[in-house]
Amino acid sequence: MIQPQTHLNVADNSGARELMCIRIIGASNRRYAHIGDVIVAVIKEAVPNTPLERSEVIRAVIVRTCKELKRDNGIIIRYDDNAAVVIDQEGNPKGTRIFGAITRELRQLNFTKIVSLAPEVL
Amino acid sequence: MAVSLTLSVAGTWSSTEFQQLGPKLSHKPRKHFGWICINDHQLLNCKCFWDIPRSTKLKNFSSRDFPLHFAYGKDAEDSSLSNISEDTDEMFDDLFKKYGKVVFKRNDQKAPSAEIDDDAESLSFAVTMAKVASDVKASDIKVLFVKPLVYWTRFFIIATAFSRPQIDAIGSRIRDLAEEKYGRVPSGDSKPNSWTLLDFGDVVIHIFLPEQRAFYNLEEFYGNATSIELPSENQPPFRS
Repeated sequence: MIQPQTHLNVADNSGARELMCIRIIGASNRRYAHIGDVIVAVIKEAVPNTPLERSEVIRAVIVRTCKELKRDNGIIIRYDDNAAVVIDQEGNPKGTRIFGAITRELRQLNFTKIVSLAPEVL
Repeated sequence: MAVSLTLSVAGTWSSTEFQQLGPKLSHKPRKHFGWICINDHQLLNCKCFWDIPRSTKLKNFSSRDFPLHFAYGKDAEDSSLSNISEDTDEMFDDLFKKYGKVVFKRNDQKAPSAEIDDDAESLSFAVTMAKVASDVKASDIKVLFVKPLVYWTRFFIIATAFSRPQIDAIGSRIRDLAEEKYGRVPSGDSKPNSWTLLDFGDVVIHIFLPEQRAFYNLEEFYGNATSIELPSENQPPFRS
Protein backbone atom coordinates (compact mmCIF):
# COMPACT_ATOMS: atom_id res chain seq x y z
CA MET A 1 0.00 0.00 0.00
CA ILE A 2 2.13 2.80 -1.33
CA GLN A 3 0.61 6.24 -1.43
CA PRO A 4 2.01 9.71 -2.01
CA GLN A 5 4.52 10.64 0.71
CA THR A 6 5.51 7.00 1.28
CA HIS A 7 9.25 6.51 1.46
CA LEU A 8 10.66 3.50 -0.37
CA ASN A 9 14.04 1.82 -0.53
CA VAL A 10 15.70 1.35 -3.89
CA ALA A 11 16.30 -2.24 -4.96
CA ASP A 12 18.83 -1.60 -7.73
CA ASN A 13 22.25 -0.10 -8.32
CA SER A 14 21.00 3.01 -10.11
CA GLY A 15 22.47 5.28 -7.45
CA ALA A 16 19.32 6.38 -5.67
CA ARG A 17 18.95 5.20 -2.10
CA GLU A 18 15.59 6.39 -0.99
CA LEU A 19 12.53 7.52 -2.88
CA MET A 20 9.36 9.27 -1.90
CA CYS A 21 6.24 8.46 -3.87
CA ILE A 22 4.51 11.55 -5.19
CA ARG A 23 2.01 10.07 -7.63
CA ILE A 24 0.62 6.71 -8.70
CA ILE A 25 0.36 6.20 -12.42
CA GLY A 26 -2.72 4.51 -13.76
CA ALA A 27 -6.20 5.66 -12.92
CA SER A 28 -6.89 9.10 -11.54
CA ASN A 29 -7.50 9.44 -7.83
CA ARG A 30 -6.03 6.08 -7.18
CA ARG A 31 -5.31 5.69 -3.53
CA TYR A 32 -2.76 2.90 -3.15
CA ALA A 33 -0.12 1.27 -5.30
CA HIS A 34 0.94 -2.35 -4.96
CA ILE A 35 3.63 -4.61 -6.37
CA GLY A 36 4.06 -4.04 -10.10
CA ASP A 37 2.60 -0.56 -10.18
CA VAL A 38 4.49 2.38 -11.63
CA ILE A 39 4.81 5.44 -9.45
CA VAL A 40 6.31 8.87 -9.88
CA ALA A 41 8.80 9.44 -7.11
CA VAL A 42 11.35 11.94 -5.98
CA ILE A 43 14.82 10.91 -4.90
CA LYS A 44 15.30 11.79 -1.26
CA GLU A 45 18.73 10.34 -0.88
CA ALA A 46 21.30 9.34 -3.48
CA VAL A 47 24.76 7.83 -3.59
CA PRO A 48 27.34 10.54 -4.36
CA ASN A 49 28.84 10.71 -7.86
CA THR A 50 26.11 8.78 -9.61
CA PRO A 51 23.93 9.91 -12.52
CA LEU A 52 20.88 10.25 -10.28
CA GLU A 53 20.75 13.10 -7.85
CA ARG A 54 18.75 14.13 -4.86
CA SER A 55 15.40 15.82 -5.56
CA GLU A 56 15.22 14.43 -9.06
CA VAL A 57 11.80 13.22 -10.20
CA ILE A 58 11.81 9.72 -11.66
CA ARG A 59 9.55 6.79 -12.37
CA ALA A 60 9.82 3.60 -10.43
CA VAL A 61 8.21 0.16 -10.27
CA ILE A 62 7.28 -1.20 -6.87
CA VAL A 63 8.88 -4.60 -6.34
CA ARG A 64 8.42 -5.26 -2.64
CA THR A 65 5.77 -4.15 -0.20
CA CYS A 66 5.14 -4.68 3.48
CA LYS A 67 1.51 -5.18 2.58
CA GLU A 68 1.04 -8.84 1.83
CA LEU A 69 0.55 -10.06 -1.71
CA LYS A 70 -1.89 -12.92 -2.08
CA ARG A 71 -1.79 -15.52 -4.79
CA ASP A 72 -4.64 -17.67 -5.96
CA ASN A 73 -3.09 -20.83 -4.55
CA GLY A 74 -3.08 -19.43 -1.03
CA ILE A 75 0.49 -18.22 -0.84
CA ILE A 76 0.94 -14.90 0.87
CA ILE A 77 4.16 -12.97 0.34
CA ARG A 78 5.09 -10.18 2.67
CA TYR A 79 8.40 -8.35 2.72
CA ASP A 80 10.00 -6.36 5.48
CA ASP A 81 10.42 -3.24 3.41
CA ASN A 82 8.88 -1.23 0.64
CA ALA A 83 11.21 -1.18 -2.33
CA ALA A 84 11.13 0.06 -5.91
CA VAL A 85 13.28 -0.13 -9.03
CA VAL A 86 14.02 3.06 -10.94
CA ILE A 87 12.97 2.93 -14.58
CA ASP A 88 13.02 5.39 -17.45
CA GLN A 89 10.14 6.49 -19.64
CA GLU A 90 10.55 3.46 -21.90
CA GLY A 91 10.43 1.02 -19.02
CA ASN A 92 14.10 0.07 -19.03
CA PRO A 93 15.67 -0.12 -15.59
CA LYS A 94 18.19 2.66 -14.82
CA GLY A 95 20.38 0.30 -12.83
CA THR A 96 22.01 -2.82 -14.17
CA ARG A 97 21.32 -5.22 -11.31
CA ILE A 98 18.44 -5.75 -8.92
CA PHE A 99 18.96 -6.63 -5.25
CA GLY A 100 16.89 -8.99 -3.18
CA ALA A 101 14.03 -11.25 -4.09
CA ILE A 102 11.19 -10.11 -6.28
CA THR A 103 7.92 -11.74 -7.22
CA ARG A 104 6.96 -13.41 -10.46
CA GLU A 105 3.89 -11.19 -10.77
CA LEU A 106 6.20 -8.58 -12.29
CA ARG A 107 6.66 -10.79 -15.32
CA GLN A 108 2.95 -10.92 -15.99
CA LEU A 109 2.89 -7.14 -15.77
CA ASN A 110 5.50 -6.92 -18.54
CA PHE A 111 8.46 -6.11 -16.35
CA THR A 112 10.41 -9.13 -17.57
CA LYS A 113 13.52 -6.94 -17.86
CA ILE A 114 13.50 -6.42 -14.11
CA VAL A 115 12.85 -10.11 -13.56
CA SER A 116 15.76 -11.09 -15.78
CA LEU A 117 18.14 -8.86 -13.82
CA ALA A 118 17.00 -10.13 -10.43
CA PRO A 119 18.98 -12.67 -8.44
CA GLU A 120 15.93 -14.46 -7.11
CA VAL A 121 12.35 -14.69 -8.22
CA LEU A 122 9.71 -15.93 -5.83
CA MET B 1 14.74 -7.46 4.51
CA ALA B 2 13.06 -10.76 4.75
CA VAL B 3 10.07 -12.42 3.27
CA SER B 4 7.49 -14.17 5.28
CA LEU B 5 5.19 -16.61 3.69
CA THR B 6 1.98 -17.73 5.21
CA LEU B 7 0.06 -20.65 3.90
CA SER B 8 -3.41 -21.71 4.67
CA VAL B 9 -4.44 -25.20 3.79
CA ALA B 10 -7.67 -26.07 2.17
CA GLY B 11 -7.58 -29.75 1.45
CA THR B 12 -4.64 -31.55 -0.01
CA TRP B 13 -1.87 -29.56 -1.56
CA SER B 14 -1.81 -29.59 -5.26
CA SER B 15 0.67 -26.80 -5.44
CA THR B 16 4.20 -27.84 -6.09
CA GLU B 17 6.10 -24.97 -4.80
CA PHE B 18 6.52 -25.58 -1.16
CA GLN B 19 8.31 -28.79 -0.96
CA GLN B 20 11.48 -27.17 0.18
CA LEU B 21 9.86 -24.63 2.37
CA GLY B 22 8.98 -26.79 5.30
CA PRO B 23 12.33 -27.61 6.80
CA LYS B 24 13.70 -24.15 6.37
CA LEU B 25 10.85 -22.23 7.89
CA SER B 26 11.73 -23.52 11.26
CA HIS B 27 14.75 -21.34 11.67
CA LYS B 28 15.01 -17.65 11.05
CA PRO B 29 16.35 -16.73 7.63
CA ARG B 30 19.85 -15.48 8.16
CA LYS B 31 20.54 -13.84 4.88
CA HIS B 32 17.61 -12.28 3.25
CA PHE B 33 15.37 -14.45 1.15
CA GLY B 34 17.89 -17.19 0.70
CA TRP B 35 15.60 -19.89 1.89
CA ILE B 36 12.95 -20.05 -0.71
CA CYS B 37 13.97 -21.79 -3.83
CA ILE B 38 11.12 -22.35 -6.17
CA ASN B 39 13.02 -24.09 -8.80
CA ASP B 40 11.28 -26.75 -10.73
CA HIS B 41 14.36 -28.56 -11.86
CA GLN B 42 15.77 -28.85 -8.43
CA LEU B 43 12.50 -30.14 -7.18
CA LEU B 44 12.38 -32.72 -9.87
CA ASN B 45 15.64 -34.15 -8.74
CA CYS B 46 14.94 -34.39 -5.06
CA LYS B 47 11.89 -36.06 -3.76
CA CYS B 48 13.09 -36.09 -0.21
CA PHE B 49 13.28 -32.81 1.49
CA TRP B 50 12.99 -33.32 5.20
CA ASP B 51 16.66 -34.00 5.41
CA ILE B 52 17.44 -31.99 8.50
CA PRO B 53 18.21 -33.45 11.89
CA ARG B 54 14.74 -33.10 13.20
CA SER B 55 15.59 -33.25 16.84
CA THR B 56 17.07 -29.77 16.70
CA LYS B 57 14.85 -28.13 14.20
CA LEU B 58 11.46 -29.38 15.10
CA LYS B 59 11.72 -28.07 18.61
CA ASN B 60 11.22 -24.61 17.29
CA PHE B 61 7.88 -25.26 15.75
CA SER B 62 5.03 -23.38 17.27
CA SER B 63 1.81 -22.14 15.83
CA ARG B 64 2.95 -18.57 16.12
CA ASP B 65 6.07 -18.59 14.00
CA PHE B 66 5.08 -21.52 11.89
CA PRO B 67 1.60 -20.98 10.59
CA LEU B 68 2.05 -23.68 8.01
CA HIS B 69 0.33 -27.00 8.04
CA PHE B 70 1.01 -29.50 5.38
CA ALA B 71 -1.39 -32.16 4.36
CA TYR B 72 0.35 -35.45 4.27
CA GLY B 73 -1.54 -37.38 1.70
CA LYS B 74 -5.22 -38.16 1.70
CA ASP B 75 -5.39 -40.61 4.56
CA ALA B 76 -3.15 -38.57 6.77
CA GLU B 77 -5.05 -35.41 6.32
CA ASP B 78 -7.62 -36.06 9.01
CA SER B 79 -5.14 -36.93 11.66
CA SER B 80 -2.85 -34.02 10.91
CA LEU B 81 -5.63 -31.48 10.93
CA SER B 82 -7.26 -32.74 14.08
CA ASN B 83 -3.97 -32.85 15.96
CA ILE B 84 -3.04 -29.29 15.32
CA SER B 85 -3.93 -28.12 18.77
CA GLU B 86 -1.89 -30.90 20.35
CA ASP B 87 1.82 -31.12 20.68
CA THR B 88 3.27 -30.60 17.23
CA ASP B 89 6.52 -32.41 17.97
CA GLU B 90 4.72 -35.67 18.55
CA MET B 91 2.57 -35.13 15.55
CA PHE B 92 5.58 -34.71 13.32
CA ASP B 93 7.38 -37.63 14.90
CA ASP B 94 4.40 -39.86 14.26
CA LEU B 95 4.15 -38.74 10.70
CA PHE B 96 7.84 -39.29 10.15
CA LYS B 97 7.52 -42.79 11.52
CA LYS B 98 4.51 -43.55 9.43
CA TYR B 99 5.53 -42.04 6.13
CA GLY B 100 9.28 -41.73 6.36
CA LYS B 101 10.94 -38.65 5.06
CA VAL B 102 8.95 -38.27 1.90
CA VAL B 103 6.20 -36.01 3.02
CA PHE B 104 4.78 -34.70 -0.17
CA LYS B 105 5.03 -35.81 -3.73
CA ARG B 106 4.00 -33.63 -6.53
CA ASN B 107 0.97 -34.90 -8.39
CA ASP B 108 1.47 -33.24 -11.72
CA GLN B 109 5.06 -34.33 -11.94
CA LYS B 110 6.19 -34.92 -15.47
CA ALA B 111 8.20 -37.91 -16.48
CA PRO B 112 11.84 -37.06 -17.18
CA SER B 113 11.33 -38.03 -20.80
CA ALA B 114 8.49 -35.53 -21.19
CA GLU B 115 10.71 -32.89 -19.65
CA ILE B 116 13.45 -33.64 -22.16
CA ASP B 117 10.92 -33.47 -24.98
CA ASP B 118 9.80 -30.06 -23.78
CA ASP B 119 13.39 -28.89 -23.61
CA ALA B 120 14.05 -30.11 -27.12
CA GLU B 121 10.97 -28.32 -28.40
CA SER B 122 12.05 -25.09 -26.75
CA LEU B 123 15.54 -25.55 -28.09
CA SER B 124 14.36 -25.97 -31.65
CA PHE B 125 12.16 -22.90 -31.25
CA ALA B 126 15.04 -20.90 -29.81
CA VAL B 127 17.41 -21.96 -32.57
CA THR B 128 14.85 -21.06 -35.24
CA MET B 129 14.38 -17.65 -33.66
CA ALA B 130 18.12 -17.11 -33.48
CA LYS B 131 18.39 -18.01 -37.16
CA VAL B 132 15.70 -15.47 -38.03
CA ALA B 133 17.60 -12.85 -36.07
CA SER B 134 20.80 -13.65 -37.94
CA ASP B 135 18.89 -13.43 -41.23
CA VAL B 136 18.10 -9.82 -40.38
CA LYS B 137 21.78 -9.27 -39.62
CA ALA B 138 21.64 -9.13 -35.89
CA SER B 139 25.14 -9.69 -34.65
CA ASP B 140 26.70 -11.50 -31.72
CA ILE B 141 23.73 -13.78 -31.20
CA LYS B 142 23.94 -15.96 -28.15
CA VAL B 143 21.57 -18.70 -27.10
CA LEU B 144 21.88 -19.50 -23.41
CA PHE B 145 20.35 -22.47 -21.65
CA VAL B 146 19.30 -20.79 -18.42
CA LYS B 147 16.95 -23.45 -17.14
CA PRO B 148 19.39 -24.67 -14.47
CA LEU B 149 19.73 -21.11 -13.16
CA VAL B 150 16.23 -19.68 -13.18
CA TYR B 151 12.96 -21.49 -12.96
CA TRP B 152 10.90 -19.05 -14.99
CA THR B 153 12.30 -19.70 -18.44
CA ARG B 154 14.43 -22.16 -20.40
CA PHE B 155 16.37 -20.25 -23.03
CA PHE B 156 17.67 -16.74 -23.43
CA ILE B 157 18.54 -15.34 -26.85
CA ILE B 158 20.70 -12.25 -26.66
CA ALA B 159 21.34 -10.32 -29.86
CA THR B 160 22.75 -6.94 -30.85
CA ALA B 161 21.19 -4.68 -33.45
CA PHE B 162 22.71 -1.41 -34.56
CA SER B 163 19.72 0.86 -34.93
CA ARG B 164 16.12 1.10 -33.86
CA PRO B 165 14.77 0.32 -37.32
CA GLN B 166 16.86 -2.83 -37.26
CA ILE B 167 15.51 -3.74 -33.83
CA ASP B 168 12.04 -3.21 -35.23
CA ALA B 169 12.84 -5.42 -38.21
CA ILE B 170 14.22 -8.22 -36.05
CA GLY B 171 11.34 -7.99 -33.64
CA SER B 172 8.65 -8.06 -36.28
CA ARG B 173 10.32 -10.90 -38.21
CA ILE B 174 10.52 -12.96 -35.04
CA ARG B 175 6.94 -12.17 -34.12
CA ASP B 176 5.64 -13.05 -37.57
CA LEU B 177 7.48 -16.32 -37.82
CA ALA B 178 6.59 -17.39 -34.29
CA GLU B 179 2.94 -16.76 -34.96
CA GLU B 180 2.96 -18.33 -38.40
CA LYS B 181 4.98 -21.42 -37.66
CA TYR B 182 4.41 -22.07 -33.99
CA GLY B 183 1.25 -20.12 -33.22
CA ARG B 184 2.87 -18.30 -30.34
CA VAL B 185 2.51 -14.64 -29.54
CA PRO B 186 5.14 -12.91 -27.41
CA SER B 187 4.54 -10.53 -24.56
CA GLY B 188 7.01 -7.79 -23.81
CA ASP B 189 7.87 -4.69 -25.77
CA SER B 190 5.71 -3.94 -28.76
CA LYS B 191 7.64 -0.87 -29.82
CA PRO B 192 11.33 -0.89 -30.66
CA ASN B 193 13.28 0.05 -27.61
CA SER B 194 16.96 0.27 -26.83
CA TRP B 195 16.47 -3.01 -24.98
CA THR B 196 13.65 -4.84 -26.66
CA LEU B 197 12.43 -7.95 -24.94
CA LEU B 198 10.20 -10.61 -26.44
CA ASP B 199 8.86 -13.08 -23.92
CA PHE B 200 7.63 -16.38 -25.35
CA GLY B 201 7.39 -18.06 -21.97
CA ASP B 202 10.08 -20.69 -22.28
CA VAL B 203 12.21 -18.57 -24.60
CA VAL B 204 13.03 -14.95 -23.83
CA ILE B 205 14.63 -12.85 -26.56
CA HIS B 206 16.66 -9.77 -25.73
CA ILE B 207 17.60 -7.40 -28.55
CA PHE B 208 20.01 -4.68 -27.50
CA LEU B 209 21.68 -1.70 -29.00
CA PRO B 210 25.45 -2.12 -28.54
CA GLU B 211 25.63 0.46 -25.75
CA GLN B 212 22.82 -1.13 -23.79
CA ARG B 213 24.28 -4.56 -24.24
CA ALA B 214 27.53 -3.45 -22.70
CA PHE B 215 25.66 -1.54 -19.99
CA TYR B 216 23.39 -4.32 -18.77
CA ASN B 217 25.89 -7.09 -19.53
CA LEU B 218 23.42 -9.93 -19.28
CA GLU B 219 25.96 -12.51 -20.44
CA GLU B 220 28.04 -11.85 -17.40
CA PHE B 221 25.02 -12.06 -15.12
CA TYR B 222 24.10 -15.41 -16.64
CA GLY B 223 27.72 -16.44 -16.99
CA ASN B 224 27.07 -19.92 -15.59
CA ALA B 225 24.53 -20.76 -18.27
CA THR B 226 25.64 -23.09 -21.02
CA SER B 227 25.86 -21.42 -24.38
CA ILE B 228 24.43 -23.28 -27.33
CA GLU B 229 26.24 -23.38 -30.63
CA LEU B 230 24.29 -22.08 -33.54
CA PRO B 231 24.59 -24.01 -36.78
CA SER B 232 24.67 -20.85 -38.87
CA GLU B 233 27.33 -19.19 -36.78
CA ASN B 234 30.32 -20.53 -38.64
CA GLN B 235 29.01 -19.83 -42.06
CA PRO B 236 30.03 -16.68 -43.86
CA PRO B 237 27.29 -14.06 -43.53
CA PHE B 238 26.95 -13.39 -47.24
CA ARG B 239 26.26 -16.56 -49.17
CA SER B 240 24.45 -16.64 -52.38
